[in-house]
Amino acid sequence: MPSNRLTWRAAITFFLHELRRHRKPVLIGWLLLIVPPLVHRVVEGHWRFFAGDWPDLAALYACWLLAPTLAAMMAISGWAREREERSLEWLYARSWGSGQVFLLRLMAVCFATMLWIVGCLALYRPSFADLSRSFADRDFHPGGIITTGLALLAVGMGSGFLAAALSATRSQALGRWFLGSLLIQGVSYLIPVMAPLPTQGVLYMAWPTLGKASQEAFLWVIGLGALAIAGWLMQRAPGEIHWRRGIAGLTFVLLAATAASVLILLQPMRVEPGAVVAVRDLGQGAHLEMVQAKYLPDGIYHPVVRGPSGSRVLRRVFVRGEQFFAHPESGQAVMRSAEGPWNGANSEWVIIRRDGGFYELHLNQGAHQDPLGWSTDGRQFAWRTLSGYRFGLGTYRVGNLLILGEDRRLRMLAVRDLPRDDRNPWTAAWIGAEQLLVTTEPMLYAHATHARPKKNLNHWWMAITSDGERVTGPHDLPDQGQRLFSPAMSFTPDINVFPTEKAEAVLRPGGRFSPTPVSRVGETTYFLLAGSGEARVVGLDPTAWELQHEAAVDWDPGPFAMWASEKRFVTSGYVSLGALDEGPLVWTARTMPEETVVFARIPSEPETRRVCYFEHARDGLGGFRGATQGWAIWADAQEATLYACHVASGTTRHLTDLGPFGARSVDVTAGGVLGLNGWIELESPNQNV
Amino acid sequence: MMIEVHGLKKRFGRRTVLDEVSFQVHAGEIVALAGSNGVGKTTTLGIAMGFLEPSAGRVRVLSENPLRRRHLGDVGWMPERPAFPRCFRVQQLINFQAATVPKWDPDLARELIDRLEIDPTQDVEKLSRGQTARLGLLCALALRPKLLILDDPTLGLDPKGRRLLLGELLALAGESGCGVLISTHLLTEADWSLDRLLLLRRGIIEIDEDVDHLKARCRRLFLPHGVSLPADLGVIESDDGPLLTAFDADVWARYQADVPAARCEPVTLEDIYVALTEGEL
Repeated sequence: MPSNRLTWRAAITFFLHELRRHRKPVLIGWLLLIVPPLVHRVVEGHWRFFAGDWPDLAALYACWLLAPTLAAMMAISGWAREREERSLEWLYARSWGSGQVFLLRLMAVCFATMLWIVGCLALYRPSFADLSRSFADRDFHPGGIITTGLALLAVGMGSGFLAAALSATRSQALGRWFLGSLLIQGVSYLIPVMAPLPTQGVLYMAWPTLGKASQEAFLWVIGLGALAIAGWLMQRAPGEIHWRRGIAGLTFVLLAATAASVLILLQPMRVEPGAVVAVRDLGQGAHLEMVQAKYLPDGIYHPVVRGPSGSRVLRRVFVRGEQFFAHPESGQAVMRSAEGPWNGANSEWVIIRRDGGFYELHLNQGAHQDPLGWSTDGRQFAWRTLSGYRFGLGTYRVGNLLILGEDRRLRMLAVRDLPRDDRNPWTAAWIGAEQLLVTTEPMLYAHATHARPKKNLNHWWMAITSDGERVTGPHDLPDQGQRLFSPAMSFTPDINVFPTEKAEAVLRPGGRFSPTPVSRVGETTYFLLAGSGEARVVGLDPTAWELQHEAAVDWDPGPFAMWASEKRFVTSGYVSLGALDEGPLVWTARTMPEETVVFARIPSEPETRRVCYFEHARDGLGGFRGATQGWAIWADAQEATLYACHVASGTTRHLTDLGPFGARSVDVTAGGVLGLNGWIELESPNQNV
Repeated sequence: MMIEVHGLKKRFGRRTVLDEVSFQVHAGEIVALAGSNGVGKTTTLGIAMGFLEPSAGRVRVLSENPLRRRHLGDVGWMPERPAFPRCFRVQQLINFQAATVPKWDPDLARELIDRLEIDPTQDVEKLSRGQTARLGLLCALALRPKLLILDDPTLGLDPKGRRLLLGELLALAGESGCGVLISTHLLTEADWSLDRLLLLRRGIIEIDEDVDHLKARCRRLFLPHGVSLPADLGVIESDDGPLLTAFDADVWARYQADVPAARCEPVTLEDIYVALTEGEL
């Protein structure tokens, strides 16, 4: 005798039936997946801001914006459609529990959404490490990308089910869902701005993980609450549902109001400063004040940096007193602007403290414009440079910190993520670091920087010992965030030793030193080293770390040096290198404001030769496209023009107009240039092209 | 006992729809639940199915509390307007039912397809009202139910369709020997097969009587002009004329001796229903 209970076969059949019902939303979803590649093609064709991040942004759009919407659509089509078709009673006239029916439907929606997400991820192949970093600890995001995704799906499904439960038809459910979502979004964002509430300290104290505002409560409460209410409403085939709708609506409003209140109360922007408990002199007229934060538990301090003009630069940052003051001999604050790939306008402020050899950093973005210089407490250590890059969604990933201590020994730290968003103070506080290196030799100079061709993150650091020997070490990190901070990361100090005079040539007082690899030609990686009086290009064989080429750049490198060190982020400075087939090294450099110079370093000649000069070549990202057959090829993206310069003779040719695709469509290969209009042969300087 | 309802009450807000409803349906019995529109027939059946929760009272269907839904595997249900998901073809729907209804009998389903003249290749969306009703009947019967609960299954059908469907339905139910609780206004078409009539009126079961007995005690009364209605014969007036509700051959013979022109004729169940619900919408 067959049982009246739900069997596997019945469950699977029902599940497949539900999946089948979701064909249209999923198909529409697949169609929407075309949008990111289209946007990429159109936008990136003219504006390369996203660089290699577009798969991440596409995945973000698809998985964390479209997916919850799709889930909501599928959830809406569950009950509302059957109510519209009047087939609810037929569906419920079977012996399973209504909870089982609800569960199967929920699973079908989840499965269809997940399937869709898997497709998206397979299509875009985003970097989970980057996405997680960009999501972690931001307002409305419960942490990593997975948690946030699940929370959003819960919200999508919950709101969809609820709308379906409360509506008679699909269109009505859709309208209610849309309006409800807008309403909740509006309330969520507006009320915190408008309502000053001083009670958040109580909530901070009550919160289990002190140090994190955790607005995920909002997402989870709304999403799971909506799911619960919807499930409760759908326990029976509706017929007498009117009063239940009323109660459900009221419950949902209360739930949303509660969640909004939590959100309001947890807003860290509402903190007021209290008494100053400690002051540290930062030098050059700046000092750090540790202020007891009002409404927060004892021991939570609010550091305020005041520059010479008295400006406050750290307004929404908190540190824990027990950490800051636990080691009076070492718990000193050092704050200054981080030198990284950002311009001075985006200075980072860092607090460093030492705790038994372990360093912790506190980084926050400030608006202070007064240069504090290389501030240090003068007793412990000073940090020299911080390298990293800004992820497209606003999170800083910081790789290396080189600290040149009072003992002149170099310490190298690998630093964890530094979220840019400072609205949530706890996320930015006390970011840990791992010590990777302490050199045995006293150092003169240390510098770290990075290059980020597309998605790879290449960290380079370089240090100069006091006797003039140079220590370099590469961190060539593919797109694997977890490796970035691994202490097992390979680096090789004392790899190469250069003559003292070369180091000294670079290390002019006040100069900049940029070991950023500007180009790679064959086995050789080229760096630009620029001091205040001169600039040099050096080529290194990364496998043996031997000097392959070195050439001085014999023109005033003042602004150029700055550009070189900020190469990636400053569009007005551009350096690129190439090698001719016959051996000479060729590079171009842009100077201010509208000049491009092509230099060549020919082995048989003692000096670097300036071979071409483009007076009106404007700022163009197309830049130097390479060299072949004795010709250096320069493409001006803005003028959409291709130039060639014959290195030996210095002859300059205007080759062709590139059309709307500009320099991006140009490729230099042996024997010619592949331009938009075909192949351009390059043979001799006297021949027409 | 197929259905046992005792003291059932159902309120929607302040409105009481059912007030002290009690009745029983036994195995093999075909019971009609009759009453005016909005009197609570669908509510009663919905409670019996477990779709609705009673406000008070005790309801047992196949000895189970219907809210637990365990009885639904043995209950064939046909709502007043059968509706199915539009994404199916008929055969797909039948396959779906076969996979998800534990006691579905595929042989019987095939037989019913032929007997009810259902086209299995049709899209459910394109079925006519009558075809949809037949498909609903198939779904209700193919699980070989112990109990059929039918909520005005012929609503909206043309007379021929009504007769066909109701005839088939009750014949099939009779063949299978299951209990049937049917809510219907079409007592004429159904009365040949009904065993008992439940008349739901003003929230209570006003009549719960064997159909044959009911028909036996009711007669249409025809009196000569000027003769007043006999007070002692249990007569009620209706638009169709007076109705004797407590017909007794001996009493009638004595009355006819006094009023030779008076005569009475047997009535249909529908006549009785109309007379009893006179004045109600």
